[in-house]
Amino acid sequence: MVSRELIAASTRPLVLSVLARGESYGYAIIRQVRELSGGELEWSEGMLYPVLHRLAKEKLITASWKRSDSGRKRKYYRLTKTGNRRLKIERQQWLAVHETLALLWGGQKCSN
Amino acid sequence: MFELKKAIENWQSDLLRGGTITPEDLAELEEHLHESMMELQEKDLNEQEAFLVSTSRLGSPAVLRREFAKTNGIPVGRRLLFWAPWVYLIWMASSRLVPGILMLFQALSPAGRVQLALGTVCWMAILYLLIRNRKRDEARHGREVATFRRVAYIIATILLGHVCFVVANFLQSARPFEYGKSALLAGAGELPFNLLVITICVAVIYLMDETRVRDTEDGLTQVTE
Repeated sequence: MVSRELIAASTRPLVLSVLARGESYGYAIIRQVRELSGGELEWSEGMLYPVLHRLAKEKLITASWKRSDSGRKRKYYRLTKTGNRRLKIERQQWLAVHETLALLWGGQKCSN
Repeated sequence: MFELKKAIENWQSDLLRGGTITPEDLAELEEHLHESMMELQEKDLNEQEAFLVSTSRLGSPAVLRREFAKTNGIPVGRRLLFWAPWVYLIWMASSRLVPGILMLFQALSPAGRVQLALGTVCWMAILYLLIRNRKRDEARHGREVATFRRVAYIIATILLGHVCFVVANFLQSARPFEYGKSALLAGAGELPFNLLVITICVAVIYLMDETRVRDTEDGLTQVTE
């Protein structure tokens, strides 16, 4: 299980990266992250929403209400151009950390 | 017998308390709840179990209210209500202690004045420690205990101010009256009223404390503690 601090730090890049794959909504984002991490990244679910709202305030993502298949209203989020740029920066930073650790642990340097 | 509609209503009203979660936020959380429950019910959990698991995964209403407050802010009225009792208590403490000490200073002999000055310095040192160690106190003993200590200190200061008044008047009464009996009577008459206001202030501080917001890191995993 990933530590509290690391989860808090990685939330923004994770959310931005999920949304880079296409429009999504809160529950689906959580499910996707849980599945991709094999259950290692376990968020306390309600906390995602304030993070999403903060990203929207920073204009990194936009939100819009739509009807879901079940007929209920659902809030969908989409990455903006600014968000895309921010994601690239975050990606470089995370890769820098990752590469350093990988080299220290005797692994291969990442290709990008 | 478990009634889903009622359980959801209770959960919603708990979240809306304090006004930090907007109806729009609530609609989003409710949609999340429904979807999470549906998934759990497909895994053979009954309605009640699904509701309990889903709401606990979402996080406790108190933590959610605090977390949303970081983004939405606290309504102005509530913010005022939070600070008003503190401001009032601090004002009351300083307006009792400062004149009380000055009066006592005049009434005392030179040796007594030195002792009074030392006592005042010690009292201020406690205040300094309370302010300096606030965060450590909160981390070690919990916010409620830390708040209780600060409130207790302020109330003790107010009472100390009153004691200074009374003692100064008592000492002065041996000599021609400088401040008069009226000051003593006013001081004594004020006390029950002050105690009532202090009680109200403490009650408001206790009730408001929960929605207090601090600049901490993303609380995304607070519930998992």
